[in-house]
Amino acid sequence: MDLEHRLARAASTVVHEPSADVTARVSGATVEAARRQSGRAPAVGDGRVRRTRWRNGARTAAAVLTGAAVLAGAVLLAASHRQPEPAGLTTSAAASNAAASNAAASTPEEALTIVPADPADAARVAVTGASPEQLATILDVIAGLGPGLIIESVTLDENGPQGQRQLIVIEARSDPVGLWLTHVAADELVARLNRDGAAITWLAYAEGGTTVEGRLSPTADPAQAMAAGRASLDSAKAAGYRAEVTVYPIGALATVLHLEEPDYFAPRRTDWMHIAGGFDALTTPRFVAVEAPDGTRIFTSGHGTCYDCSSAHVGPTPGTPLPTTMAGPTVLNVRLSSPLGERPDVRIEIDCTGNGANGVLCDAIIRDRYALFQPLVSDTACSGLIGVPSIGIDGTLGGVPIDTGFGGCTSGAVQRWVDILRANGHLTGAWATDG
Amino acid sequence: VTADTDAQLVPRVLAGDEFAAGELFRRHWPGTWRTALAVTASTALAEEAAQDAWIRAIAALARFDATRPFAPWLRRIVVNCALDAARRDRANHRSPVSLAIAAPDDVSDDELVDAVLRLPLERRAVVALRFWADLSVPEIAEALELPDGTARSRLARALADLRAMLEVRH
Repeated sequence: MDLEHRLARAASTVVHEPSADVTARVSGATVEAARRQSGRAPAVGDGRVRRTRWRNGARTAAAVLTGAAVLAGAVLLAASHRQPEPAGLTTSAAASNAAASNAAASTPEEALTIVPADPADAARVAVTGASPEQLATILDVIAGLGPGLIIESVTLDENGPQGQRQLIVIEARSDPVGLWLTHVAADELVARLNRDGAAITWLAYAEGGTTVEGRLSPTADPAQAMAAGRASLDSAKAAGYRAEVTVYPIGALATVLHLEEPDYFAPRRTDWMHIAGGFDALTTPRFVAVEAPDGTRIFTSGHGTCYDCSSAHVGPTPGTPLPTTMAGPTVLNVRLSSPLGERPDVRIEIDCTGNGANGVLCDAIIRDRYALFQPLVSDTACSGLIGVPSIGIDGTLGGVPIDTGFGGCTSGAVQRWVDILRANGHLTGAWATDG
Repeated sequence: VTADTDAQLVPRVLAGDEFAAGELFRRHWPGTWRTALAVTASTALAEEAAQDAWIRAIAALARFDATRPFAPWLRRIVVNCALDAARRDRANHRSPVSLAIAAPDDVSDDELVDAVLRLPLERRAVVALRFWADLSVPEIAEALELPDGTARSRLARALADLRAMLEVRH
């Protein structure tokens, strides 16, 4: 046997699979590094309602408010009893008021908003490298996103990797709906331009590029999107959710599901993608979001998927008082354990029924309950982070039965619990620090 | 949880999305580990190098060109960290002498590995990356930031060294 074959055979002597504890340690260090890295980014939120960490890129309050202003003009007719909120925005009084002043749903009783095509705003997009025919296609597709500047520029050139013909679509917004709409439009652009012979093989955004797969074909079908929107509303109603659906003329739709207390703590169904009809996305591009009673967005799917999205607890913001339907006792049993047993298991009983020592902690839990007890999507896969502690909570919250738990797929919730317990002196020893 | 590309995950990691960080880690951890272990030939050093590499990569993520593939970029960092770890270890422990071992057909895998580990570090690295991390010569060249031809000739010289070492006892 020659030397090269012997060396290859000896690989098994040197290279073996990593052990679980090595993987856990390096995974933990990596995630911690990412957390510290992001700590330098500006905090996100409107400063009045909550802080929300979106999944895609840094969001600033300015971006959120800009998005609010853009979408405020995107709604057609005046709503009567309740104004559907434009999908993709954080809840804010300013946004709601602005939307109400412009606005509204065509069929408010069904919370279905139909966005009009807007050729005028499409004409504001900077387009370079396109023939007159291609320009017409590009403007037609972008007009289908509705009013407001969703896309900043579109470029066709030969400067992709290895000289590939590429389409560059630069997003004008960084909120989840803006990014989702940009990607919907970009896919449609590639499909329609290539159908007409453009031979685009590389698609690039501000955040990076990707190869264009041959399966892309035009999907814009407003009639189909309208039917899908109505089906989404019916499905949400059947599952016990209040829903708002926005249909875009490009043939895409956004569904926002709202949860109310006390159902929030044990909703009948959490297969949110199914409820919203999100799995027909191959034919109807779709954005799905789920909101807590105060508007905190706990799940989004469209341009990527995010659950356990809300970041740190509310902090100094007072939070929403418990509703009268939750006037019962709050007694919680919390179990905290580390994945590899490197820290002792902790069991804590938090009794908020008397005027005992748990008062501050009880207040904090009530204040942050939407983040601390968020329901979790049941029909979206998660590989989970390795090395994250797990936490289980049962008991009652305002008399409502609680039985939930968080772990590697919901590391944000775990961290919130650890933080709140630590801040109130309930974690000592190895649990007292992040080490 | 996501079918997003690496290029789509990177900005989310930068924005503090721990799921994205976890997903990026999950995708690339096996390759990171194999590369670090191949170069260092030590579980302890590989862990040190791999962890160091991930932390450096996260710190440098803002400078990552998202139009380029992520894996080769990360591999360059891993190889550098692994070489650093191996260099420190060699300075501390390993003797550069006693090269003579048995002929290829006689030696055990452990003895062959030991011979590789006694090569000069830059030659050891190309052998380890080629035969133990299963990289192609162009991938090795990219990881070590060398021209293809240099990587190829360095590998040839490393194999010649090994053959010479193995023939000493005959």
